[in-house]
Amino acid sequence: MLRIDDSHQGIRLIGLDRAAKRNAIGVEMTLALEACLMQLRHRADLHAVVFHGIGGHFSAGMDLKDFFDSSSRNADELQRARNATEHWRCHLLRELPQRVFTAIEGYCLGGALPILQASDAVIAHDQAKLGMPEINFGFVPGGQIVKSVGLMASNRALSYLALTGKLIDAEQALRWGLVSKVVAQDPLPMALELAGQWARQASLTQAQ
Amino acid sequence: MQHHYPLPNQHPQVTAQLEQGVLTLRLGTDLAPLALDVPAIELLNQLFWQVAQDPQVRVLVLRSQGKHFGLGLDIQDMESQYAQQPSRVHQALYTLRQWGNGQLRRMPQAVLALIQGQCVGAAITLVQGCDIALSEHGAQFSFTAADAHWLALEPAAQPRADWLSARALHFHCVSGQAASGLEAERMGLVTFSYPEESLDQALSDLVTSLREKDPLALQFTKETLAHVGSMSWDAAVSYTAAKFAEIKARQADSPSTRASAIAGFLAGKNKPGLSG
Repeated sequence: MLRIDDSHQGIRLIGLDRAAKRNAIGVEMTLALEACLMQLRHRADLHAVVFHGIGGHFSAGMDLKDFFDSSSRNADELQRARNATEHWRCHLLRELPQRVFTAIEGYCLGGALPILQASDAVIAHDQAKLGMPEINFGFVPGGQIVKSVGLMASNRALSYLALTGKLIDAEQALRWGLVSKVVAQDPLPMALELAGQWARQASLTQAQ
Repeated sequence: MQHHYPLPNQHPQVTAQLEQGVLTLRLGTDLAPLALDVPAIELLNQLFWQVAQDPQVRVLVLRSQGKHFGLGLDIQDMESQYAQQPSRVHQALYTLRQWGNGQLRRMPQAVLALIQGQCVGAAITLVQGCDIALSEHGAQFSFTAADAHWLALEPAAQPRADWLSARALHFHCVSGQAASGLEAERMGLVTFSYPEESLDQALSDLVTSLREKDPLALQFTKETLAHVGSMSWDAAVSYTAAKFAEIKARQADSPSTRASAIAGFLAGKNKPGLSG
């Protein structure tokens, strides 16, 4: 569910790895994210984290099948996953000692947006699509998602995204403050480069 | 089919038409832009409360009848009313403050504003109260207006910095320079600005999309937008859990958009809103 790579000096790459489901965050992925971020809190050798998606999409948000009406999971398992989701989304992400960089392409929707809000920089592919589609399913966006978007973008932008459920392109996301930079090529190398610059500075400071 | 919508009172500057769930309030007349007098404010306020209770209305659109959205308060009327009934004027200004302060955003329907031409003083407060605002590039938003004296009686009725960039608001207030539609979009006063010839099509696309939404989901989404910004993260989680339970309970006894959309999505039959 996660492809974790610590081979870059001082950096952890966290790849959302469920390409067949556009990296929708299901039970296993949310549990893995909680565990991964918990572990990161104690890794003084890691100075930066880079989130990215495997397979052409960052994430389609929370997995409908797991977290909404049609879940076939048992109640305890689902409750554990919900608790884990709120833990990493509301607390662990925001309390990480590392800087966070995120590369997005394809879909970046709903439950994935708090990762952007917790990031120091977000590099977006120019074909990326962002949005809050919950209302298209007759549902309500989670308060944590609304709060995250409200911390990045204006009330106007937040209202439009939440009430219309329409997706916006990367350039509009840049104008509204959801992303930091739009690039025409794979956004991961730039995110990695920024993370590397920060990690080198941080390790020098740590050594002094 | 379009038909006139019953108004609580008559006023020459306010007309209302309902068509396929979209209530369009036209402000002003062909020749005279809206200048809000006390009776107009009272009428609009009664109408907003009426609409909030009316399930026929899915989307409310505020726009001008003529070339300009609104010139702010009717100064002559305010002066004459104030000489006779100062408390009525204070109440009207308080009402105006409530529109900008969240009353319109707490209505269960989506509330849109479409701004053409001049939009001055108190008319900006009305725009700020709406969920989504579209303007033409050539619109002119004037923050330093003749009605500033009256708005100062209810300070919160003045254009406020929570829905637009404080830096930009202060510049336009201090300099007296009007902001164009494009500038209003950049500062967050309107959602999008369009060339004049594209404005009606943009509005049409938007209302078509909004009136198709599940009304309960739209209402609960608006409530979520209104409340969670000031909550702690943990409180937002609890609020969401309560809202999810409530919407499921209220949709349980009838076929819901939610159930059919999710079932269709999981069966691979549709992807609502995900085409871009």
